[in-house]
Amino acid sequence: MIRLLDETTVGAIAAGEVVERPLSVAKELVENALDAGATRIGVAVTRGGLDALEVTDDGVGIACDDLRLAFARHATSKLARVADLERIATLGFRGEGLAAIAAVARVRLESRTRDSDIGYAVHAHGLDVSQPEPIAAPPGTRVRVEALFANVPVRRDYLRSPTAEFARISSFLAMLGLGYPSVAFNLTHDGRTAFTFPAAGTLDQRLAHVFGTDAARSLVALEPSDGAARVRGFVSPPGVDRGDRRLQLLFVNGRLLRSTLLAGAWSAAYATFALRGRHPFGLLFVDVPPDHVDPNVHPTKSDVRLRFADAVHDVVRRSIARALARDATSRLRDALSFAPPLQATAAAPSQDAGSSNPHAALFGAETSRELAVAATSPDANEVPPGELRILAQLDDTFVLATDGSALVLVDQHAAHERVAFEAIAARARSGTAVQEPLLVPYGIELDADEAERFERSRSALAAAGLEAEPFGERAYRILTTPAGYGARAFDLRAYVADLAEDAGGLDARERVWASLACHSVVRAGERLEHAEMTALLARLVRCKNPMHCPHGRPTIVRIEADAIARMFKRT
Amino acid sequence: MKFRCNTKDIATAVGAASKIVNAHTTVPILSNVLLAADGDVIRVRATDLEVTLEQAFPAEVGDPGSVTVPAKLFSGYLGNLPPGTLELSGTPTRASVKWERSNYDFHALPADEYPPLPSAQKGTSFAIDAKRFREGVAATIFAASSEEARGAVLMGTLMELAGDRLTMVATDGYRLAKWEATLARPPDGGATAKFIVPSRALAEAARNLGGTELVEVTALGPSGNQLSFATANASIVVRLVDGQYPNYGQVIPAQFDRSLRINTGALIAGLRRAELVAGDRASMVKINVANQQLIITANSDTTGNAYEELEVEQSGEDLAIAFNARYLVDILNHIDAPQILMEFLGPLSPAAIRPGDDVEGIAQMYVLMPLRQ
Repeated sequence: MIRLLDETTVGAIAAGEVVERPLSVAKELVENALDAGATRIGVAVTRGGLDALEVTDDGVGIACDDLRLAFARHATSKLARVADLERIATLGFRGEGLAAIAAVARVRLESRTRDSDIGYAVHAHGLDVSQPEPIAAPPGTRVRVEALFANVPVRRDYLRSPTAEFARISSFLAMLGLGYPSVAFNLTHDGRTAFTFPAAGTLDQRLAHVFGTDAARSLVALEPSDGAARVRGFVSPPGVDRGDRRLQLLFVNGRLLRSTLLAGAWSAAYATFALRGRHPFGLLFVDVPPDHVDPNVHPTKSDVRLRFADAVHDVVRRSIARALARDATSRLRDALSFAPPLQATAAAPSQDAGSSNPHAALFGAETSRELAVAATSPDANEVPPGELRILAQLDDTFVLATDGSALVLVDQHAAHERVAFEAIAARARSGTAVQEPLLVPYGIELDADEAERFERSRSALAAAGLEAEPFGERAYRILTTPAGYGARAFDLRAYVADLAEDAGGLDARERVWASLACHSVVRAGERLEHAEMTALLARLVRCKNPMHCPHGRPTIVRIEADAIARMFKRT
Repeated sequence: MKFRCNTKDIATAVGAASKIVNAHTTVPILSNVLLAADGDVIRVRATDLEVTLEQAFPAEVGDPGSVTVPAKLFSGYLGNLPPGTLELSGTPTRASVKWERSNYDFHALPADEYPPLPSAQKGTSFAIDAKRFREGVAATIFAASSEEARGAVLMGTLMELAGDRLTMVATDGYRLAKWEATLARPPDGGATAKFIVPSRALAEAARNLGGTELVEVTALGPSGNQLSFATANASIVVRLVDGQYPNYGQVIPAQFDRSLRINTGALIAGLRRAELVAGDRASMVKINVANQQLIITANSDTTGNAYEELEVEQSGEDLAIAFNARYLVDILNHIDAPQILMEFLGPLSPAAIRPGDDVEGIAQMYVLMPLRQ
């Protein structure tokens, strides 16, 4: 027998989607406060929100006539017609927040608008909403939620301890606070203050609270960039990372959310910096025109759909990559301080190539340009003066050097890999990649999955010098390979298998380059002459990102003299 | 078993055998050499199951029989003996060597567990002058691939029989070596046949089959999947690569439209110097030909620029082409002639390189793909 559900049940079911735990209540209420233009938001939690949760703001308030309507489902002041869904600029818009909360808790709503002398209060529980009664209240709104899930015991069973539930609220509010530095936040639990964020011009205090003091200090600021999206924020530098993505905080148009797409862009920017399985963290603000984003994907609005997703992905990746490159150069300055001896010799031929050399015409125009770029590149000039003395090679693996105040250790393989990677990448990007065509093309057969992945990266591979053409079903013929760099040993099969492991973020071209670099360079366990070590370090210093090999392992480690002094108990 | 022999004879044979033995084998007996005494010769055999080498030297045999000894150890011991005579007696578990006033016992493994020689069923057979064979091997196998990822076929060298001619071809996909010679004894009825021989095995054959006039080559086994190279006192049996060798005829241009005659030594020296500068740039050197001059240039942003001029005999139009210098030098080093002939068909087609003068009964040529930028 089929029956229409009664309103109470329908409400409880709908609420289930929105109100999952005390955190959901806090999130709905705080977002409402932000949408109301609050400059101060207080959240008071009692017993993890199981007993009570109260949010107070100084926003525009709700007029007496609208108070009862606020509890009707799909009642909202934020949206008037369906077309408005196309350009949502507020955090809430579904008009079901308060209704959903009232369906599973007792709610008292007090509010006073700025142009009214007194405030009004209503009580709501389930479908019952009381008449507004006049009260004395400051301008703004206060919502108190009690006895959450008292009528849904099952839901209550799934909650964790009050401490755990409060921790979720606390971390959410602190993260959200990062997006709204001009709003003061205050959070208390059982009457004790958990944190207070005064309204402030900088995010320093809030960053330290969320990421920890040291990690926050290491964050690298992005330069604001425009394009398909405006991107601002702070990201962790290579080498400072976490085992999960939880602290990859992302605000899209002010909304704190998770986005697989943008997480992918983030990882892609770190592709040649981060070790596999480690993730960068930080804070990103991505602003796109309201009609380019659709937050109406999920009731909790925890993911969004983006129009022009590829373009946004690209802007985000590039602006992070740029910041990392800038940071790497400045960190190198801290780690090493010496002028590369090769700098002068590297610059010299380029002057010849341009003018006086009688056979300059034989070197293609591209080559001359490339040399000129190398000579005037800011990276080469930014290297600070100083003296780094190579001391020895350790275990045929590490180069030991000193600048007088610290011991500098360089992993020879990682360092050389980085040098080779950048040379290959620069050449490929400038279109001067040399190809070695095959006299006898060789065929590979791939399974369906591999073929699909390979097909996707085929044009990127061609740009890197590896051309293949389809040769029957799921079979390809390799026509050219990139010249040099041990490319003949390049194991295409392993590369395709590699693509499977981390298909998401990584740039296919960079993966080829990294693989080539890895194959072509000195290995650990190879004896190097003094001059070779000097040349290696000099070339490393001229890299854009000298601190890490393309697979994310560090190239340079610096041990300060005072750290050594501590080992000898001399402090 | 028991025999007396010259220390130098046994040291040479066991030394060569120990090079065949795979040090990392999981089958213990495969790291041993087999010494078999019979009549008045000792046969020394070693195998890694792909290649089997057997050599013979004269000895004074007391008791016929066999013994197996760890190859590297025994070869190391023999290598440290001065010339003289030694006496070896073997049991299934022990080989005892007496030399002057020293006595050594080596742990042995039972000889009857040693892999037997491949089937004696014989197929196609022919003979080639031993010196010529060594030249052919040297002229070709360097061009074979050393990348296992590219497959065993390209790691092998093709031996193709047609009439009284043997053609050997090796390629790693980028360059190709082809060498042809007339056989001393063609196969019966001028049979045609193709064998893909692992290049390493050919190198072993060329190294160990010296000091005689002829090398007898015989296909073995019911399906002809092994090849034996034999002289009077040594033989190598090789397991062939199973597969289809690329149609090399297709990659050699049928005709060329310009050619150069160049002094080999000068070209090698110029390329070597220029390659130093090309460095990480894929060893790329550019070659410009005009007005009977060949100009080699190379450049790199880390090292500098190189420029070399050579006089050449040019016929046909001018040309600008780029090569991997290392590949080109590699090829030139294998041409034993004062002058070489290079032929081209534009800057993107494969170039052919041959000795400047023909040698009676031999045709040697190389094909190299130019680089593209």
